[in-house]
Amino acid sequence: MDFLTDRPIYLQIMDFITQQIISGKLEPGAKVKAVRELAVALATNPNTVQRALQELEREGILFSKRGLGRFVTKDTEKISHLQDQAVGQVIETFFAEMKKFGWTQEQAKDLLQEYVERENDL
Amino acid sequence: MNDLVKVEQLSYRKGMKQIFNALDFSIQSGKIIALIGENGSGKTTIMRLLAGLALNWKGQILIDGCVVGTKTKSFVAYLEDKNNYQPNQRLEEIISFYDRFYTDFDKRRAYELLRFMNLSESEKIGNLSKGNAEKFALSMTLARRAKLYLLDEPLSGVDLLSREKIIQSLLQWFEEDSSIIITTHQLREIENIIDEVLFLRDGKIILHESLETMKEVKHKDLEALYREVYEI
Repeated sequence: MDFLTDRPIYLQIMDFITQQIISGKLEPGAKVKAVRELAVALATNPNTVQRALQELEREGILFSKRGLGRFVTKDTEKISHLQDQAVGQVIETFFAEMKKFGWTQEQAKDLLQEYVERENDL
Repeated sequence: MNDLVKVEQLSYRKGMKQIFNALDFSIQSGKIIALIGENGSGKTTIMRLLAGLALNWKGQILIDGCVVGTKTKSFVAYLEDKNNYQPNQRLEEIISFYDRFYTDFDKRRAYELLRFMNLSESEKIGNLSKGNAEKFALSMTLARRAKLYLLDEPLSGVDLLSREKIIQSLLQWFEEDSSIIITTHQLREIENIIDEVLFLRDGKIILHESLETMKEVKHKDLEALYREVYEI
């Protein structure tokens, strides 16, 4: 995984795991890899991975069972809330970028609509 | 957290040259630390002092509460720039030597590392490429269950894939309650694996910070910090 160098890596690891949960690659209740294993897989510092997992736990996205490791929350409402948040962020970025080019939200929506229709025709 | 390394008021001279004067720093256990500095800034000298190889220093150097010396050598693993092997020695012979010499050497781990590095124990050390020789030397260092690992330029003169392999091996095998101090000029490659960075200039530590904190507070990566510190 490529990390941005000017943003704390623990935040990027949190995003990465959250993405996996939203996309269903990590299912509700699934076991998360151990710290060392994740550190090697992501080629990153184990303390940083540890911090990311602890933060995710504090946010209730992961939970730990003593001696067994960490797991994805089984709270599906929580997961769909994460999904909504992610969708919101992407859409917000889209409109913000379009605004830079001078398009209003209404125009941007129409352009998006046209784009989707054109892609479907191909 | 405990201070694994505690250096206080350290002064050291080589001949007429004063290398360090009243140097202070400490390192907690469980951390990977980058020791960064321009050539001749004193990085290797710090490594040699911590390894117990430099004599006649003044002040205090404690490792795990012990004054640096013969005793600390038994739990400090030092990867030097050069090695002193005979070219016709087989890797397995060197492993046996280490096994007899260091009480904290883990032979099983040495062979695990060898396999991870794709090295064969029957190979003669003199036949290894520079990259493979570096991988082997690092394997011997990491095979010790040490409290402190001192890695002086483990990535220099080694090709990209070997560097990646070396970094993976660090993450895989370093003991959780030990610490690693690593010197390198390969800032990008160690960026993601270090906890703290220590910048050295003219025998002084001019910055000692958590890299994640620097990213969070200053939005600066290692290279940007390096420029900030060294560009005048």
